[in-house]
Amino acid sequence: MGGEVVAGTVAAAVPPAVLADLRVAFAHEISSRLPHLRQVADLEMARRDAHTLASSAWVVGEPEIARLAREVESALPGGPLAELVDKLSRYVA
Amino acid sequence: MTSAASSTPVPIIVVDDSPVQRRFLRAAIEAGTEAGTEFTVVGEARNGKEAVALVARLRPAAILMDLDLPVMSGIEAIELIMAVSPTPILVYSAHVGGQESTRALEALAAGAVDVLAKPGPHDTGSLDQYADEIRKKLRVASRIRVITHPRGKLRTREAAHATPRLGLTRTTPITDEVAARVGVKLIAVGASTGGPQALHTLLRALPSDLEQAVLVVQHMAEGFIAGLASWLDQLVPMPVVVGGSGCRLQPGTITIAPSGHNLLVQDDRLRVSCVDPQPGQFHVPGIDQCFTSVADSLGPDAVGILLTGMGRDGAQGLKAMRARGATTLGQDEATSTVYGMPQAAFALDAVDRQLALDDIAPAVLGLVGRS
Repeated sequence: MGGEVVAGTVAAAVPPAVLADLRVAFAHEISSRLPHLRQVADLEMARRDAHTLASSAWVVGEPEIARLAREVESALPGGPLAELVDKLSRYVA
Repeated sequence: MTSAASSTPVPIIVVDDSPVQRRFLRAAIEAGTEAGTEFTVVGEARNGKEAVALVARLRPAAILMDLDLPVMSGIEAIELIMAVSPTPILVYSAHVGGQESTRALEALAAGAVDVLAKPGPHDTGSLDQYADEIRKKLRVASRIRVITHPRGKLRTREAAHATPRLGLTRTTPITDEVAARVGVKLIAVGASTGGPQALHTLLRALPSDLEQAVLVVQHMAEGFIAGLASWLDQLVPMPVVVGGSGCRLQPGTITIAPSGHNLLVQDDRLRVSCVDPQPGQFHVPGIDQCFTSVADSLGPDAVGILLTGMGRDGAQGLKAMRARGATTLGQDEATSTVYGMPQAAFALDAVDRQLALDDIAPAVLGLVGRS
């Protein structure tokens, strides 16, 4: 679940036990929000999901997911949605 | 600072729909020192509705709240909390530009006391540094005495007027001074906590064809000044811009001092420059520095206004303006979100007139012959 924390990010200084908790919570968050992003039945809900995942991804040291989610948030229904969904799916796989 | 070990931790409520953010904030807020834990998170809410109920039940000393919330938005929650259970609210926002910045300004106008950017791609600090910043802002916020919803205050003007004035340092009625202020070129305004709402109230009452320039120094988190200018520009008659070195303040235009520098007026032609703050300067942009430059450059041809805010910034500068013959106004206690800066100015004998917020614009217009 997730890779190495990127140096220089806030997460790099998070105590390991807290970071482990955060990563578990992040995985749960992805699982609950990913279906909305796959279907995009409700644009506003999908935008909020992308917004929340972007902030959370940065906190747990996943800047690439954070960047993609931020792009999707501002570009929905366009933007790199497929790429984001793929990254998120891999994170929880 | 109070020793954390010698007192009960300050109770905080965290509001964010993300469990990751709530867990992260709890870790940051409750991070201990050698002396113990200064703050404790007594409750977590996932949306605005939960926050309103939780705050009413737990009565925390301060709230850290995201704005982008489901069920009930952060703005609605702030308004309700400030109406029902007034509590200092620190906004925790993912963006400091664009739409979210405007939303953060709306939150400040609704009664939030400060804003804090969520960690993001431009944040290179460690958790320790970020946690320090959160705790520093919570330390300030939790000491603020908020008593009513600021928007509710505007609807209770009579109550504000009924509050006894603390006395005037100059007994001459302000209308008598209008003739002596024909040459006023600049209206300089300083504000801090509660400032965005107060600025909105003041500036919306000034006409677009005002012959004077208006200069505003508002204490605000880095990155929010452009949002403040954009937000006010949509709401007030005069155009609102952010100032910079080499600019000349224009009549009928509101110029806001930019983040990260002190904005100084260079001469009586209203040219301005941005200078780096002195080491250890707590508030940047500084109101004292700006007001003092106004005193030096314009003497009696300026009006100084010090609005709501914590601390003392602006008091010395306002005193310098008054000493050079400018007319000086201070917001009164009844209508101030925080009666800190205006009180400090009043105590320094820097204030000609202390007025309710709604009375400041009419007083200014009287001073410049536009009553």
